[in-house]
Amino acid sequence: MAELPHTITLSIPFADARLANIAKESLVVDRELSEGKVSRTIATQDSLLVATFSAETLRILRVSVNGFMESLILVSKTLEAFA
Amino acid sequence: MDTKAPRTIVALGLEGSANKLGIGIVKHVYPSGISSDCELSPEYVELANVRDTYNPPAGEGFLPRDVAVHHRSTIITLIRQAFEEAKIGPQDLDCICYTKGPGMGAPLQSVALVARTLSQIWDVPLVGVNHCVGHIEMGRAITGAQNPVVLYVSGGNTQVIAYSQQTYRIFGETLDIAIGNCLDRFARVLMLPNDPSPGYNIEQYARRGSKFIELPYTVKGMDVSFSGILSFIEKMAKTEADKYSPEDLCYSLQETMFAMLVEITERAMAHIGATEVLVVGGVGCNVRLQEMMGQMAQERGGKVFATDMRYCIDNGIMIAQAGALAFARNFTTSIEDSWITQRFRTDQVHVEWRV
Repeated sequence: MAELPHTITLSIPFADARLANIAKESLVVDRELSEGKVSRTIATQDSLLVATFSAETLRILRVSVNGFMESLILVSKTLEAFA
Repeated sequence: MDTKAPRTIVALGLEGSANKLGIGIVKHVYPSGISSDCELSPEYVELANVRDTYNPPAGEGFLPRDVAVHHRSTIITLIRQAFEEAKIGPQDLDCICYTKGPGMGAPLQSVALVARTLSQIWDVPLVGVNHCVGHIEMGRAITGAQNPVVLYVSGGNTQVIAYSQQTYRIFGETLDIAIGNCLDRFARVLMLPNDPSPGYNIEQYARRGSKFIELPYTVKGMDVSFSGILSFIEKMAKTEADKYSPEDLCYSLQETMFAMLVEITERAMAHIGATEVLVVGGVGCNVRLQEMMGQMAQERGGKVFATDMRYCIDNGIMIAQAGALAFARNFTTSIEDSWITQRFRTDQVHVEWRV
């Protein structure tokens, strides 16, 4: 992807595969606001949540990753409190 | 499929489309089951209705980002509080209802994320709810109004609604800003506090006002417009502060805008032959508005129905209320479809629980 040169991959460990999958299902629903300028994939590998972002500019990459982190923290806290 | 066996539906409602975060739990009892071809009117049991409001400092409005931070940091505590108040556990829930829209993007998304996660943890289906329909169903449940013209007035919406053929149809609405938005913004000009709400403080000032100042009166057919009135009165308050007291300005603003609402509501009532008015939404707890609507309804041989702050200001139980009714008609929202939307009109909802 020549037009989306900036890439980052985050790997987040969960207690087990079920929790990682719940987090993935919750996070994958909301679309990126600047579609076309950033592409996002969220997947699981066993108990690992793997999110990959590719963006047109570093600024867009930072905004996307920040937004994702805020959502991820909320989902993790919810899992911690109720799962 | 009709069955006469009694049925109950317990619903958790999560609301956070603006600056209030509300969690409610409702129980609906159908003593002789849920019939497939009649209007659903279950026995309503309130189990919990808790709320936490984000208030910016005086002179400032709330920004979506800050509201989302508030919701994210408060929601888990508030959910726990709701379960404590209800004295039930997650295993007792039949569905989890959340606000799908309309509202502010970031706050809606924060609440939806939690709803999706809880739905998966507890294996309880999700129900996406239209915020406006939540207000209407809550008003109907609390007041017992049968088939009223609904005036929905809040910080984000101003609509005159009438029910017909499983749709809440919009008869008239604001062409620009919502009435509550107009009041909130004028409160900022006067530097009134945002606690408990800017509209409440305007109402208190208005009570002490006595001199009526003529303001633009903008009714366009069934619709109204408030932005011109706001610019006009903002300018007055800033440049002619010595001539007009804040009390008189608040009084005149309320009288003018509420008269406009009375006019379009009365016209809708005349069109459909209704005698009842139900006022819902945050501005609906304004006593002066209720009084003016009441007078008009009385002259038409009917009456006004309104609720207090627990129910007309955004809350969680209204989302549970509307969601539980939809759920009784087997409506659910899959996790993949549990996105949120800032625009979601009242008339886009198929009201399957009414005939």
